[in-house]
Amino acid sequence: MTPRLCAVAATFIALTASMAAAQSAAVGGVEFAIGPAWIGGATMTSLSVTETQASGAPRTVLDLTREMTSAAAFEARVAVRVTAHLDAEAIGSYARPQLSVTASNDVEGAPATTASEQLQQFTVGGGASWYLVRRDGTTKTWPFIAASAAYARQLHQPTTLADSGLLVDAGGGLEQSLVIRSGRLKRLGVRADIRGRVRPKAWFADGHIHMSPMAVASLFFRF
Amino acid sequence: MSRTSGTPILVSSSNHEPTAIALIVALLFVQAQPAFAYLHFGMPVNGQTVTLRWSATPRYYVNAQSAVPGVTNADFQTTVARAFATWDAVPTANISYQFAGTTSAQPGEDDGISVLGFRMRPDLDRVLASTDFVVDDSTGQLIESDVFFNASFAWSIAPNGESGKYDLQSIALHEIGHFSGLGHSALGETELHDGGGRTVISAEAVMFPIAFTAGSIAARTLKADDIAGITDLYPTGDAAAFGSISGHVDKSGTPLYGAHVVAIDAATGQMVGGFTLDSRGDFSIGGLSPGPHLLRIEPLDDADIDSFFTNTAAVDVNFQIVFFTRVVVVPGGGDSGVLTISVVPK
Repeated sequence: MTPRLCAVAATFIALTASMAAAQSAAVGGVEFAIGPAWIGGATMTSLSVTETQASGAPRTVLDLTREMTSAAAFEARVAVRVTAHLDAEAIGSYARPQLSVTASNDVEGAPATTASEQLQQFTVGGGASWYLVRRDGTTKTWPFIAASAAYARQLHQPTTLADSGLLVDAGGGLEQSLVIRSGRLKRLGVRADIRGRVRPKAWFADGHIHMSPMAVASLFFRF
Repeated sequence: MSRTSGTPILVSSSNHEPTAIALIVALLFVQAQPAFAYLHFGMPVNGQTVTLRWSATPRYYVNAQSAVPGVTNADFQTTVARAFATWDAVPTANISYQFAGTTSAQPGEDDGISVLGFRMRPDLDRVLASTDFVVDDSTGQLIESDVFFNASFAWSIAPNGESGKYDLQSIALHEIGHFSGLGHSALGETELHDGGGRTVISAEAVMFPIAFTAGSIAARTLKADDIAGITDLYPTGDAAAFGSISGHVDKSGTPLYGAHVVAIDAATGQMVGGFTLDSRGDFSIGGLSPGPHLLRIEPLDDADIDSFFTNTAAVDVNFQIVFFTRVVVVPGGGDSGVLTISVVPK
């Protein structure tokens, strides 16, 4: 999601907030959630490093395997009730995955080596959750499916090189209300998401789409 | 002014051929320049090492008697022009060349003009071609650069090459790299024969000091290492498009001189090489694409050391090949920051 699209999503959330709040006395119109996440790794296609022979044919001198490791992350989410089934969301996250490159099959016998680099990855984006049950004042368990897109910014060490791209998440989960009140804070509970994270254009230009599993557990507050 | 010694490209030897590499001792570098990737030519000016380069568009002449069996004067002129155009076409480098005409002058004469042509030098029985320079001592700027092609070998301009004949365009491309100020690259693998001499198994730089076997046209295309070298020497204004990696290499705590440091682009697999060039074991590889790179450090054992260094005795080849255990990120328009890499003896 580009910054422009993020701004559009934020505006949409603001416009719908008052409407949603009026409709949802026992459910709450606005939800804040924070929690840890785990993002699975992605292995890029292996790459042969070659030299040219007299015939013009390539000769492999070593192989590279490249991987973005799995990483713990932190995610924050703001959702606004649009209908009894639908929330619009703005989501931000921070993670520190490692980029690792393994060199192997060195033609001169150098031992296989894995080199790595710590990255910082920031995302901001928007999406929607579709609740599979009609949310009213009596239900405590809300299964949902969700999809979002995010603009991701990735900083390398030292933080002098940044690259950016689009991430798309899709999945589902469960929201479980632990406390239901009639005051300003309507509900407090936990939310668990299982998603697939798609990198349409990987950080490495290997020309492949990469999908990683992702899990988020968050504590939500619904007002 | 001073004239520097020639920069020969050597033939690959076959098993039955005696080696004569030892004849090619008049090498190349007044002093290796520590600030750049692979090797640029450098010379001391007022206590500083200055990289040899052209300060204006170099004009070149072609010797009017440059014909050998299978190559007419017109063929020679056209083929050389094609090789110049290949360097000229590197989009990231700001150098172009101007054909000034034909001349009766021979390459190797101190006459103020840069001349390319054939000369019959059967005494240099392992030298296909060689480039030498006239340099302004006070500035390090190139004044004249002559290239001779050894007419005692069989040459070809055939589009697909000819068995038993050396491809003029490939060799001209290598020599024009020297003409422009580039030294040799060590990105290649060779097979050393019992009696001496080497055969190139593979190479990934036109500037590798030993040519492919006769008949090959594989060296008509510039590689990443060549492009990084010419880009580093004649950069365009887009500084952010490239960056560098620098650091030093030690062996058991002692600075290592003459190590070959190869930066491998983790996204593309393209390689660009450099060397540790001073008593501190320092290296710097410029002209690199921004992004993650892997570093491989190896001894200089795939060509004769005097193809790269004049002070051959100081070059240490007694260490094991290693990969640096950090992925090194090249920032656009900047440097990786100084890395310290340790190797161990064999």
